[in-house]
Amino acid sequence: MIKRTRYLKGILCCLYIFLIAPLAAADPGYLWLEAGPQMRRMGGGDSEGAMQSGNTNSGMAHGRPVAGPNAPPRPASHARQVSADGHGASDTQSKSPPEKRAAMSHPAHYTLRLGWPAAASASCETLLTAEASILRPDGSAQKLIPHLETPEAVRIRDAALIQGRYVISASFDQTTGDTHYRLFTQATMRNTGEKPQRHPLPDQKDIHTRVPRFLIEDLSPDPGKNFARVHRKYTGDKLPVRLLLSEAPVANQPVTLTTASGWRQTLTTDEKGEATFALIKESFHDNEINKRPVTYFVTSEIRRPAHSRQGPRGEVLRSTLALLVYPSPLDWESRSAGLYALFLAMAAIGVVTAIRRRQRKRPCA
Amino acid sequence: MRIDRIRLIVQAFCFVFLIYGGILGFSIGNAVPTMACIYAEDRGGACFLYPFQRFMSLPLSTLIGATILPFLIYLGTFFLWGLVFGKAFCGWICPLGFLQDLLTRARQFLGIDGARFRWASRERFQWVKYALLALLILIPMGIGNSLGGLPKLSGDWAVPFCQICPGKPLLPLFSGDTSHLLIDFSSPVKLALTSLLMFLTGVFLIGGFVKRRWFCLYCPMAALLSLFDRIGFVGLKKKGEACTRCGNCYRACPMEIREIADERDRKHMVTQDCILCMRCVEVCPENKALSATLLGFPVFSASAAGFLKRQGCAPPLPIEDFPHDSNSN
Amino acid sequence: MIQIQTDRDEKQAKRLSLHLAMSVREIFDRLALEQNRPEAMAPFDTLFKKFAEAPDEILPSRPVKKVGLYCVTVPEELVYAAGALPVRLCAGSTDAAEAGEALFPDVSCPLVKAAVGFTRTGALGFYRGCDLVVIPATCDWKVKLGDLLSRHVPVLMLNVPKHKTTETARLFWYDEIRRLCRALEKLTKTRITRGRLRASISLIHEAQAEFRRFQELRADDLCLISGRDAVEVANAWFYMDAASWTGHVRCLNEELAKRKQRGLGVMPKSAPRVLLTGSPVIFPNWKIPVLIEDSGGALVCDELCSSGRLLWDMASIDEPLYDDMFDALADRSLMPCTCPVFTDATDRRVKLLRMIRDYRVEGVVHHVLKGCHPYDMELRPLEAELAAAGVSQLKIETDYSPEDTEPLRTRIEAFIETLKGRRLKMGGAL
Ligand code: SF4
Ligand code: SF4
Ligand code: SF4
Ligand code: SF4
Repeated sequence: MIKRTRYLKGILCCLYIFLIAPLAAADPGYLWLEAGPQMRRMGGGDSEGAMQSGNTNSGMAHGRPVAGPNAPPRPASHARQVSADGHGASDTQSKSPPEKRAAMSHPAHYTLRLGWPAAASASCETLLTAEASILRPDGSAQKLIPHLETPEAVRIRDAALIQGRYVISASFDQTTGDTHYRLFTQATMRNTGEKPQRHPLPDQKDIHTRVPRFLIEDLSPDPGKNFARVHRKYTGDKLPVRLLLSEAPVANQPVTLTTASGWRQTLTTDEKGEATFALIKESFHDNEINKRPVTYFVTSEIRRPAHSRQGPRGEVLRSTLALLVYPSPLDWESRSAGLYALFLAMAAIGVVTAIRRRQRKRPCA
Repeated sequence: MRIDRIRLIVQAFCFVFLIYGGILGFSIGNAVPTMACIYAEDRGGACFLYPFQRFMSLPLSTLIGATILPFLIYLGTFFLWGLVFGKAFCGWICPLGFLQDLLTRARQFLGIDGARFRWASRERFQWVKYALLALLILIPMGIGNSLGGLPKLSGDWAVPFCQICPGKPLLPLFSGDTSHLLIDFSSPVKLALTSLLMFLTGVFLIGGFVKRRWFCLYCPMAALLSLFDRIGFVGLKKKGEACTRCGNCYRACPMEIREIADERDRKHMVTQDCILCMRCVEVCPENKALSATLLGFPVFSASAAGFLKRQGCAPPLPIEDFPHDSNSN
Repeated sequence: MIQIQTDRDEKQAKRLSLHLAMSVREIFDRLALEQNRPEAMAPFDTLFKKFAEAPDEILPSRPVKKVGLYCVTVPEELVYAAGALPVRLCAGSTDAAEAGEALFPDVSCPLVKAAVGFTRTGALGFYRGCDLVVIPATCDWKVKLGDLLSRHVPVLMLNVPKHKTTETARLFWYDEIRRLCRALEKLTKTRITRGRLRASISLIHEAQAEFRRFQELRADDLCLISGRDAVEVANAWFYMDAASWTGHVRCLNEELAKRKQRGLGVMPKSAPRVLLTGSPVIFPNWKIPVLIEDSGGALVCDELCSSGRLLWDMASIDEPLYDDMFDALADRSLMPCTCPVFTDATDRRVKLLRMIRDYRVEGVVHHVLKGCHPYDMELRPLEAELAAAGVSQLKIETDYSPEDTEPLRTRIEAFIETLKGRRLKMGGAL
C-alpha cells in the first residue's frame, strides 16, 4: 500500500520534473517553512512549521511526552538519545555553535521550500533571495538571512533563547513571464528558555520590505505557560485560520487545506477573514501503528489582474501555513478501556480480598 | 500532638508542594528520591527514577562519555538527598506514600479492619523491589545497548518502571490530567505494559485500602533508599535492655517490620523496609526503648507518659522519665 | 452419700472461715502497731479486713456478672468491656491450701490447692459465686485446675501457647482471645463493641498510669512505702473495681509524693534495697515481704505476677478498630509476659537486670513456692546469669504455711547482713 503510493509519487515527480515543470516553469508554486534538523530533537517544542518527519517520542507511553529526559542540559547527545529511543534521526547532528540554553529549548531552524503541497518541493539557491523575519516573545523582531547550509537546503536560524512563542515569516518574489508571484508563509514555534524581560523595544515595523503581506495566521489558542508539555495538533483537532492582507482580514477568500496525501478541502473565509478546518484523518496506519506526524498545508491564492501595460501583467499572492499533524492517539489507545480495566481489576481484587478475609475470619466458637 | 498527625500534616504539605509547586515556579529538581511523578504537570520536583531510566537507556559509550558529568551530578544530588533524609522521604514526603496513608485513614474512618500479611507471605514478597530495581536498570540498558549480543529492545520499553508505576496514572489526576488512565494498543509491548499498569493501579488502590502501605513493600525506590539506612542522618535506635518485646511497635508498624519488636541485640533499627514513620516510637510504652535520632542524637524517645498521653489517657500526675539515671545508652 | 459429703464440706468450710479470719486478724493486729504508714492505705486495709469480718462484702456489690480469673494472661479489659467484673481468684491462704490438699500430690502448688480449697468449701462466697471462671492453661497445675473446678463452677480454659515467638503462637492466641470474647458476650448478653473495648482499655490505662507512677515512687531513694504495703495495694486490684482502685491508688500516690517532698521514708536509708522475684505473693501469705522488711531490708520492687508485673504492660491502640484492639489486648497479655511457663527466659532476665539498675537493687530474693515447677526450673540458669552480672541472690523455697518462718528469718537476716556488708565494702555511705 505504502509502496504503491510511493511509486505513484515517484511517477508524479518524474512527470512534474520532465513534463510539467518545463512547461509551467513559470509557476514557482508555494513557499513554506520546514523545521530544520536542530528542531528535530526529542522533547522539542512544538513547531507548527513544517517538519516532514519529526520524531515521535516513542519513549512516552502514547506519544505525548512531558519534559525532556532530564534537567542537565545535554546539547551534544540529544540526537543520539533520540535514536536510543528507537526511532529518530541519528543523522541529524548539527554543527551549530554551542549555546547555553535551557532543557527542552531549541533554536528556530527552518528550511525554506518552494513547490506544490503534497506533491513536490525543492529548496534551491534561488531562495537565498527570500526575505525572512522572526518576532520574538519579548516583542523584538529581526530579519533572518537565508543561507545555504547544505547544497540542497536554504535555511534560516535564530537562537530563540527567550521563553515563549515565536512567529517566523518568510516571503519570496519571482517574476516569470508576465506574472509576478509573491509568496508568503508563516510558522510559529514555542520554546522554553529564559523568561522575557519586558522593556520597551524600538518600533520595528519596517523590517518587511515586501508589501502587501498576505498571511495565513494560525488562530489555535495558546496552550499556556506550561512548556513542560508539548502541545501538538492531532487529527481530529480544529484548525482556525485567519487571512490577512496587509494586516487587514480578507473576507470571502477561498482557502484550501491539503493533507499529506493530497486530499483537499476548500473553505471561504467569513467577513472576519476567518475559516476553521477540521484536521481530517489521513491514512496513517498500515499494518502497524505509525505515530509519526505528516505535514498538512493551508494555502490561499489571490490573483490580481495587471495594473497597466508597463508592469508585470498580473500578480499572484500566495500564502502557506504548513503544520505538522500527528495521528490522534485515539487511534491506538483507549481511555475507556483503561478505565474499564482499572475498575475491573479493582472489583476483582476487592472481591477476592473480601472472600479471602471472610474465609480466614478466625473461628470464634 | 501525636506524631502520626504531625506526619500527616507534613505529608499533606509535601504533597501539595510536590504536585502543585510548579504553578508557583518552585522546583527542587529532578533527582528527588520519592515518587513525585514526573508526569504531574505542575510538579515542584520530580521522581528520581524517570531520569534515571532515561540515563540508563543511553548507549554506554555516551553515558560514560559525553554525559558522564551530568550523570554524576545527578547521582550526587540523589546521594545528598538520601544521606540527609534517607527513608524519611518515604514516611514523610512521598506523595504515593501519602495516598496510601489517606486510603488507610479512609478505611479507619469507615471502620473496616485492616489486613496483615502472614509472616511467610511478607518474606516471600521481599525480593520484589530488588527485582524491579534490577529490571528498571537492565531494560533501559537493553534499549541503548545490545546486552550480551541480544538485539536492542524497542523504544516501547522505554522507562519501563514508569510504565507500570501506579504513580503515573494516579498523581497526574491531582492536576486534572486523566490522560494516563488508558490502554495502549499500538504494540504488544505497550498493550501488555499499559494493561499491567491498569491492573497494578487497581491493586494499589484496593491493596492500599486494605493493608497499610501496601505498595511500599514493592517499591524500588525503597530499595534504593535503603542504601542510606546505616549512614543516613535520620536514624532509629533501640535500647534492648528496656524493651519488653511487647510487640506494640510491630503491630503499629505500617510496614509490619518484625525486627523492631523481636530483635533486642540490635541498635540500628532502620531495616530495609522501614519508612522512618516513627510510629513504633510513638506506641512503645517503655522509657527510651526506642528513639528517633538525628545525626546520632535522640530527638524523640519512647516514654510511658508519652505513650499514655497519645493513647488518650492523661495521667493526673506527670509520670517522670524513669529511670532517672540514664547512665547507659 | 451426697448428703454426707455436703456435711463434711460444710464443716470444713466453717473451719476454714475461722482460720482465715484468725490469720487475717493476726496480720492486721500487727499492722495496727505500725507507725508511719501512709494514711491512704486505709481503703486497702478495709478491703482485706473484710476477709475476716464480712467475706460477702469483699466484692463490690454492683449487680453485675462476676468473672473469675487466674493468672495475668487474661486481659481484664475484655471482662470490663463485656460489662462484667473481673475477680482474680489466685489464692494465698494456707488454710485454704490445707482444705484443698486432699486432691493433690504431696508436692504441689499451694496456690492451686488454696484455690481448690476455697472453691470446694465455699468459704469465700465469690469462688463459687462467679458466673464464669477463666483459666489460662499456663502451668501444669492450672491445666488440671480447670478439671477440678468445673465440678463447682462454669470454667472456660484458655489455651496458652508456650513458645510465643512463632507466628502460629500469636495467631493462635489471637483466636483464643476472640473465643474468650464470645464466651463473655454470651455470658453478659452484651456485644463487645469498638466503643466498649476502647473505653475499657482506657479504664485499664488509667489504672496502669497510676500503677506506673506508684512504681516510680517506689524507686525513690527514700523507700516511701514498705514492700508489704505495695503488695497489699497490688493484691487489692484482685478484688476491687478498676475505677475505685485507681482512685485509691491516686490518693496514695499523692500522699507518697507529699512524703517525698518532706523526705519521709518508711525505711532508713541504710536498708539494703531488695528485689523480690518468683512465685506470686498473695494475701494473706505476705510472709516473705514481711520477713525481708523485718530483717531490715527495703523491698523496693518485685517482679511477681501478683504485684509488680500485674499492671505494668500496656495495650496500645493503633487503629481504634475491632481487630486491632483485640490483637492489642492479646499481645499485651502474652508477649511481654515473663512467666516462666514460656520457653524463652531472656525476657525475664533482661527485665530483672533492668529493674536492678532502675531501682538500684542490691540483692535479689528468689521466691519459689514448693511445687511451683516453672519458677524452680528457671531458677538455676537465671541464678547463674544474675551471678555473672554481679548480683547477690537468695533463694527461698517455701509454701504458705507459717511453720518455716523462723528458719527463713535467720536466712533472710543473714542475707541482709551480707548486703549491708557489701555496701560498706563498696564504700557506700550508710
Ligand atoms: S511513573 Fe512512578 S517512577 Fe515514573 S516518574 Fe512517576 S512516580 Fe516516578
Ligand atoms: S516506598 Fe512507598 S513511600 Fe517510599 S518512595 Fe516508594 S511508594 Fe513512596
Ligand atoms: S513497643 Fe517498645 S517495649 Fe514493646 S516490643 Fe517494641 S520496643 Fe520493645
Ligand atoms: S520500624 Fe518504626 S519507623 Fe520503621 S516503618 Fe516500622 S513503625 Fe515506622
